Amino acid sequence: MPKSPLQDAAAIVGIAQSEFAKHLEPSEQELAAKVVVEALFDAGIDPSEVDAMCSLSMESTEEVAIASNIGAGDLTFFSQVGYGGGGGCATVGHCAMAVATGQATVAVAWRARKRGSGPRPWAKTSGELAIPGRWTRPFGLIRPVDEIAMLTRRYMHTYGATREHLANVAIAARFHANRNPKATMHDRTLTRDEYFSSRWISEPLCLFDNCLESDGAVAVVVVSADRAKDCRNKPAYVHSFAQGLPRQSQSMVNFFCDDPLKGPAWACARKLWANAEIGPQDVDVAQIYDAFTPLVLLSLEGYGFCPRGEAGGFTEDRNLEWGVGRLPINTSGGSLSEAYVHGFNLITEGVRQIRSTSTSQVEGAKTCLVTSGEGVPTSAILLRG
Amino acid sequence: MDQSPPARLPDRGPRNQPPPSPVPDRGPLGQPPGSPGPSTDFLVPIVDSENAQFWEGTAIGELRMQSCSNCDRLRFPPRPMCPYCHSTRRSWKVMSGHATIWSFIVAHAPLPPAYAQMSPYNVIIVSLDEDPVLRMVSSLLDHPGGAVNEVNPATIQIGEPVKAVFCEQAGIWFPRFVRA
Ligand SMILES: [Zn+2]
Repeated sequence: MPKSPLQDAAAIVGIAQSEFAKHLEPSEQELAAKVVVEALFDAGIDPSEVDAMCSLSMESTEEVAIASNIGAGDLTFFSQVGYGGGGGCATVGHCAMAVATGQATVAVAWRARKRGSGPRPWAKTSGELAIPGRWTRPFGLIRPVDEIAMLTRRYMHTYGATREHLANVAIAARFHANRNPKATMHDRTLTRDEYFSSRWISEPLCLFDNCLESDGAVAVVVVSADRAKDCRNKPAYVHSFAQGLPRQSQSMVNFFCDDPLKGPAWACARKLWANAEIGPQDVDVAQIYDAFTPLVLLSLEGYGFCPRGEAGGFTEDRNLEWGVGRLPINTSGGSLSEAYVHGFNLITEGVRQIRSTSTSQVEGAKTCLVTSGEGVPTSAILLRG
Repeated sequence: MDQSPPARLPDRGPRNQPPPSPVPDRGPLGQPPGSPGPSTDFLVPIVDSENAQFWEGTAIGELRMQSCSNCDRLRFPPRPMCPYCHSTRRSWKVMSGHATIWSFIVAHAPLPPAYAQMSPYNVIIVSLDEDPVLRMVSSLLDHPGGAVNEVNPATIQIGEPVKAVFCEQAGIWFPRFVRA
């Protein structure tokens, strides 16, 4: 008996992404429609067969826009997931649940965003603040980087992690981007000296602890395991899926709960592994949400790759790098060095690892963990070949 | 974490008050309903029926926390229901203002213009002495009424004892902290 009715019941069979850049000419809607159609071509499925859609609540191109552009049929399932970058893997999970339960047959999830050339969301100083933001933003804790820097300082103080460990994460991502011709930072190396001489953004976080600001779009196609056998490319089965919103948690400003350093990843991981036949020790490669370098440390602990407080040490000796380390992460360059598309490019890279088509391919990879944003209510998928 | 009720506090504040009346939510503090807020680039707290007594407290030099009238536990941020006993009977208690620094950052540009002008400035999180799980975001000042960018960041330490002071900015009295 599978541990969950969802186990291996659905698969990602199509992926596509736009060019990634600081500025792209087409609108978000045009970028979105194009990647959705390309992902369907990748799967060998006609757009008229699409009957389910899932996206982030922050997504500006809604279902009706996608459907009318691509010529979709009648939709029988559609949903949106909140909490920004925490929802990426959940869109795939909702698609998987829809096709596994027979609510739909062909599901697409997408993210199209001009965050590189568009406005910075935090720069707005008028309008209603969300409830927790009322207690933080007027005091100058304004940007996501400030909110995560606050957790980072406490984490370093509590566990003795250092900026060297954060640098290890940034340098691993850049190393992988340098191997990926489609990565924004393909041609730019990052040395430890450059990391330490860069400017502060929010101490203790510097420029290179922050992800890129990108224009780009990404889409995936999800069908049932039965249907997946007939598709053009090797299926990446959704072996396990979970979301996590721990008790007393707040979005981003997660300071008011009992144990702020034990973030949503812990709640998500508990369900993810409970529904899986394998554990963290069996994961060949991982795509860990990296809007900021410290999120990787918190996630490595939350998903059980090392004991609590030991993620700093886990990054040492190039342990996160392809060809060297025990757990290569963010093998396309991730949000730090490929593109920041709310982590959807981590999902497509996870599929490429299962298909053995990554530019930093982990030899014989059979399992890939993909996670969404830590620090916000989150989600994760475990992909299997 | 310890979930036991906090010790009894000196009862200087509004006591056994009925739950806040269901007045319609107002605009930013000191502004008529529906007003766009003061002409400032600073972000201002949104005052509503749930949190009004917090800001009424800071305007008279009191740091108040919402308290369950059934089980006496304190909670922050304010909300209608006690997560421990599910009572919606609630009041406000005045805190001592003593706290310790739980974490801090130093923010550098890019920032919205009003904040960029003050940068680099500190932002701290304090744990209140009454219950360390009660954490608030604030600023560390050199002296009451000082600016948010005057303390040398290299001297700020997690665990430092601090004390609440109240400072006006854009017509609002903010709780901030100085070294105790
Ligand atoms: Zn209670």
